[in-house]
Amino acid sequence: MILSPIAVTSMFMLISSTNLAEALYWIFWGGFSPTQIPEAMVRATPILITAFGLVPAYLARVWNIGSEGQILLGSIASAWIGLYLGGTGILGSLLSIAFGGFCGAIWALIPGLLRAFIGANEVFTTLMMNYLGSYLASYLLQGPLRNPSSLFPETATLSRDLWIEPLIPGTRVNTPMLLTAAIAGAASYILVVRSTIGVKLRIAGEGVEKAKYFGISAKKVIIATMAFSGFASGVAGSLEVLSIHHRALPSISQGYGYLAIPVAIISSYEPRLILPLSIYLGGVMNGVGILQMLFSIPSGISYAILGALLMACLPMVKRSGG
Amino acid sequence: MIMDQGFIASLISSTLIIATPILLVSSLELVSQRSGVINLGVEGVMLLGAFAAYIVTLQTSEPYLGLLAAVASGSILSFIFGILAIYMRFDQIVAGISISMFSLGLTSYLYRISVGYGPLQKIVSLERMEISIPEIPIISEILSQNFLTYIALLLPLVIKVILDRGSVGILIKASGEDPNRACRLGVDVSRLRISLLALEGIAAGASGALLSIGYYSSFLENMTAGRGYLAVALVILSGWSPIKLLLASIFFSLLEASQLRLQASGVIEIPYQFTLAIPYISTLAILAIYRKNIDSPRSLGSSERGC
Repeated sequence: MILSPIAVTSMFMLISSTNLAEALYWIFWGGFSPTQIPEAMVRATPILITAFGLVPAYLARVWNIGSEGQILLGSIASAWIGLYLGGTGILGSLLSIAFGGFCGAIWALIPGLLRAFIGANEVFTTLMMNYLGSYLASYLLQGPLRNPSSLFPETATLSRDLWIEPLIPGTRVNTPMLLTAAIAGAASYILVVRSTIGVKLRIAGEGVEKAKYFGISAKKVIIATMAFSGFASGVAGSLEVLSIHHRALPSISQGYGYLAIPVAIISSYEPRLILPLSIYLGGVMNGVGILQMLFSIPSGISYAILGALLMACLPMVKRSGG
Repeated sequence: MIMDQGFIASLISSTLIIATPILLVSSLELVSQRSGVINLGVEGVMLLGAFAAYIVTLQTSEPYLGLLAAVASGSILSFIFGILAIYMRFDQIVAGISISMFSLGLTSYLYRISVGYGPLQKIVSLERMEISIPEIPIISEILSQNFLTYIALLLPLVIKVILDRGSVGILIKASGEDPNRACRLGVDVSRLRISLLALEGIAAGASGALLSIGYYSSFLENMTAGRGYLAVALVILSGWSPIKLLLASIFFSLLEASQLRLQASGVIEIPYQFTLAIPYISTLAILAIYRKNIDSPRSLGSSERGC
């Protein structure tokens, strides 16, 4: 799993007859050289937050793969209310984050309720919700929410009052980023290893019958974990808006929602890996991004990497019986 | 709006055009699901078929060679899915999605590498058959379709006969209902399932080829746009009955064709994103109304393979 992004990149470089050694050098330079570490962390943060939200769902074997759409709609919701609020300082920022999370949760609840009450396979439905989300976003950003004076489909820039300023000038590292890293790391460890909630979630994942035997409502678990993961994704989207882009745009989530899937799958077994894995994938994707610019590599490569990552996680995906 | 004969003829014609690729895939998906495998990789298989057909036709100017390439590459990718889902017993839904996603990346990457960012390069396309009945021009318009349309319309009927009457049909249904018993009766369930998947890959590859070298005469990134997923959902909607599948596919295609007409007529302003999202919305709607019932093959999606 760890090496699959690099394997795919190498394969694609060979197809396009780019110098492989040079390409790998740039990936590692882009991911892990001192000047690029802040950028790698910027990319790791949404992966980390989203993966953290997914861990309880994956413990209960509720396979939400719709984070990409939830991040996107969360970011748009957050920008929309941010523009509405104007300059209201820290309170406005918090409200904007909460609203982004709320809308992400709503978007995740649709497939969640379908799974709980109809039994619709949530992997399939969340994937469809991703596509719907991207079309809805494209409609909103080209239509009602578009900044008329911009050449691109994006909202107007938020009031500077709401921005989350970088902690170290010149980089894009900020306080919430470090804060979430600490919280998500510790909380996932407690959740998976040391809490009764973790145990209950695992039991719910064993199937409806077993859950009932232990007095756990599988339906409630499905709805709650879906809503929680959607909320986390929405928050990740909001933070991208407030701290990085200061507006909503269609490409705000650069596959973060998909990258979080392997991180969360592995973390639901070994929570201590959630931080290193997020940073690793953030770094590799930053490297791939640099590679794309340097060698004008087509962007299709990132989807192939996501597909290969998902494939590499297959041995760890077990569906619940019910 | 005047409902004259020309309008009806062109509506039927475009319904058939939309239905063909979906029917090609969904008929064979129905067989795979009857044998116990749900294949969401078809979306990616179609896309690979579309790309392979395009690139080979671009190089050779022989659309039939392109079709051959699509069929071959499609069946290989479907076979790879089969190895993941059947022999390695991974979750079928997630395995299928990972195949589709990989194929989405691979095809758009290879397309850019080979064609670059210049203007679209048009290619020689698969010709429609010219059927003309001079007395009734409407009928000629409806009947002049690609030969794959006729295959697609016949497929569900052929499959119904095979499933209901043929001895292979019994083996297929047995391995979907109870792989253990099928295996004890001497059926190699895994081999049967993977052969059906390879066959489905052929159909999905051809279906993708029809999109690229049949309809658009070019390739576009993610040009299948959810039609593979819709095909899977239609199989579920049909309750695994080939005849209902035929009707359901035609019904959905008619809806899409009328929607396109409505949009072109300018009577109602519909955002283009909505049009693009229709396959995904339909898929979601089908999944939302479907409940597991007696019709579904009992071991569908499970990794049991018998004995």
